Amino acid sequence: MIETQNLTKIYQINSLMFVALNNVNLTIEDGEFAVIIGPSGAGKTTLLNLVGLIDKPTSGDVLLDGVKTALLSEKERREIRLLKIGFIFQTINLLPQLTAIENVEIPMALMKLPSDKQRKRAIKLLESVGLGDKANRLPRQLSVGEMRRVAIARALANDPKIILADEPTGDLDLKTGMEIINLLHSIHEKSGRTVVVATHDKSIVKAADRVYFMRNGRIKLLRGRV
Amino acid sequence: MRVTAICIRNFKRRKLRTVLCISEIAIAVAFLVGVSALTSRMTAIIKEMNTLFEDEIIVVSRDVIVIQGFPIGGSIPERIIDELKRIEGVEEAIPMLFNLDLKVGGTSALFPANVSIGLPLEKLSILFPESLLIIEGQLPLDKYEEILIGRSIADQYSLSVGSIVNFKGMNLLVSGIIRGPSIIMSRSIIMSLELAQKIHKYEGQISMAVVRLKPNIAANVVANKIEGEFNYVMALTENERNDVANSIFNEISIWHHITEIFTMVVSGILVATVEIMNLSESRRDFATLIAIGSSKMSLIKIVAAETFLIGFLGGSLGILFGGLSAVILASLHTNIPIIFFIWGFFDIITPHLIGTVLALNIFICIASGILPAIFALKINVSATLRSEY
Repeated sequence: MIETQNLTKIYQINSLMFVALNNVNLTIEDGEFAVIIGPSGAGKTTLLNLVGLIDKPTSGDVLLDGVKTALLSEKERREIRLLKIGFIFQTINLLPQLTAIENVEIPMALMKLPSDKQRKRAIKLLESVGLGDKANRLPRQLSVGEMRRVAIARALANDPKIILADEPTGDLDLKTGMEIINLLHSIHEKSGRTVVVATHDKSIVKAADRVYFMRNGRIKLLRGRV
Repeated sequence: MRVTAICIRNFKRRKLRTVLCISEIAIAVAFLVGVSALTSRMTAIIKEMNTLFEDEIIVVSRDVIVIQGFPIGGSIPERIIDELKRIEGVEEAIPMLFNLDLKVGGTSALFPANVSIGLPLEKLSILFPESLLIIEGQLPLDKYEEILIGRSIADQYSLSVGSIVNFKGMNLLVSGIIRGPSIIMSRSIIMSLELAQKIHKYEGQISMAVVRLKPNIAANVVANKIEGEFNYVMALTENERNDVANSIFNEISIWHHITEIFTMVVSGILVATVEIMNLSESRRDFATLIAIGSSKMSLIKIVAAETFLIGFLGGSLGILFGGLSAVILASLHTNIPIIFFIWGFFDIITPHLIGTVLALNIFICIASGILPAIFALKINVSATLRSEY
């Protein structure tokens, strides 16, 4: 379960203070498909970064399966990121010098999984996102939609319990965007993982278990159990 | 997929930069190796000279430069030998004519092209201990027509025992070849004093006298007596000769260290510059890796692997090029065909030199890469991931 308690994030740029998140409280049960919608600059990415333990809150806390993360050491946070969370970044962030399959293998390499097991699992994951035939291509040789699929495969590499997807359709055309949404739904349905998607694309909310709306750093539950 | 394998891909991605960096380090290391090889060779020759005439006094003309046992130029009358023998404490005085080939311009060769030594042949053991004096053939029987030559000269000119050589206009028979580890001996032509005087036009003259002392006689006392009696000579004891050589060693050592520091600083700056550029370009990659669970230590390992490879490849190429440069320089300096130096490559570029240079270079490269990496890894991951290029 993902839970946030009075989560606040304030950025300070020189003398300017910018409140990105303001006392955000949310709860997402295990196995739910949750969507956080809102306009650009609402704080969605900041929220996902905090839930994904990439960033630290100014105040408040994120609880993962009841564990308060604010007091965890950097090593413990890193292990949670590696083992429990699969992150699909807004800017994709594939390593440009590595092929698609090597990008998928990275989280497994960080887990020190044997090379042959890494390779087998990476192939399987790329096939599951429809890129089995493009495994050896470099990111620059792939379309944006294909890169997004590789990023999804990479997020699934260590079989995490939680998938966090930040604007997964942001830079895609309608058709490709729908394919990615369907892929995320399919992952959710087949594996029962918790999937949290931050987006400003309202078309994604139809099949969501829980929908939150964000604006100016504040959050409101639109649909789902309170 | 290993995390450290990412560094290989980084190289491929930045081929030109990597090749330039490795080449620049190779040039710097080649310079260091070339200088080190030549200075260590020179030091080895001087040190070998240091083993000569231990406990003995060398008497030479007052105005000459003496490198350890041997004077460069100058002469004294041969008749001084009989007068030296009469001095109290002197057991024996041996005349010698020593001629080191000088290059045009008067600079002595670091690798002597050849050394000709004339002395009473029955006193040959004064030059080198019996253990170092392995002769193929025999000592010259005819003191006016026969010579001994070093193995390097024999190999260079395909000479063997019984060959006739024309030396300074005279046809001489090679009666024996000196085989042994001595650098000086390998380039020596040894002959009778009479023949040397004739060839070098030193009739009635010698370049030095080696004075052997009676037991329990203080060398400095006898040396003072000699200098007091003959105002045109220097009588140098072993300690005095060592003092002269030590100043040369110190000079060489200082210049060697300056070269070493300079080269390593250049290598370090190059690697640091390239790594700072690489790290700057890789900030988003590092942020991504940290976000998906990589430790900062893993990332430092990637940088260390990159810089290790740069240091190793640059260092290895530098050693190879530096070694070849030293060999070519040695060949040009002595007119000895390059092939003879290539056979003795590891005598010039010693395994110790290779090990030291490579280890030092790799250490400097890794340190130069890791320090900027440690600073670069203090990034704000979320901000870096969101930033636009």
